[in-house]
Amino acid sequence: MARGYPDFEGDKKGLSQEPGWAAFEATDRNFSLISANLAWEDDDTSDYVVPAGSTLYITSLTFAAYASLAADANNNQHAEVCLQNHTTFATHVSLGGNGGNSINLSKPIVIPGGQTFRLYVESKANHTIRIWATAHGYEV
Amino acid sequence: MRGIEKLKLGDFNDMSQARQEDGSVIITLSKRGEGEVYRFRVIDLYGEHEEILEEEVLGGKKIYKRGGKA
Repeated sequence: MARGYPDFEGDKKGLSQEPGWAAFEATDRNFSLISANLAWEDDDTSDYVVPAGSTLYITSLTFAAYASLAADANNNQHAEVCLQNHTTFATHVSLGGNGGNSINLSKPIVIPGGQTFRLYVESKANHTIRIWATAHGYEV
Repeated sequence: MRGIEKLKLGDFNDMSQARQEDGSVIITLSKRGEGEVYRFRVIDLYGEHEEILEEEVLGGKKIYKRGGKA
């Protein structure tokens, strides 16, 4: 959905997509999960229960994966990151990558009030890695 | 307001979580337009035995240290 003002008033030009408009209105939400020393198939999660009466919309996801040790720095840094509704156990996005990846969703993931948004990361590397995942969206 | 309350009210723009070796999670919350950054360490977040182990407001004075349920 586009929000904003047509250029009828001179200084209010352009339209904003909903995530951009949310940043103007300070309703944007950014969730980061920092996970250290994850061995093969170790996982980690970040949970957020959406307050009653609000709805969370997640619009993008990005992550980076690094070796924990310098000796593994030039190896593959495979990882998987998921966006889940932990209340309904639905996995809406599963994103893999070697060293990192990102995606802008063509439609937002909707998490209703009272339900739990979960950011899930899992190491797929054969050595220990650090994963830094961030999900962006807005809550109204 | 305490950090755990801001989390549960959704009164933030940015949240970062980092799990610790003891199973606790350090959560950092910030909101544009506010000078304070709320940082706290919690165990069993959203669970029956949720407990704030440590809490501080960065950019302001430390308001809480150890003990007590949220």
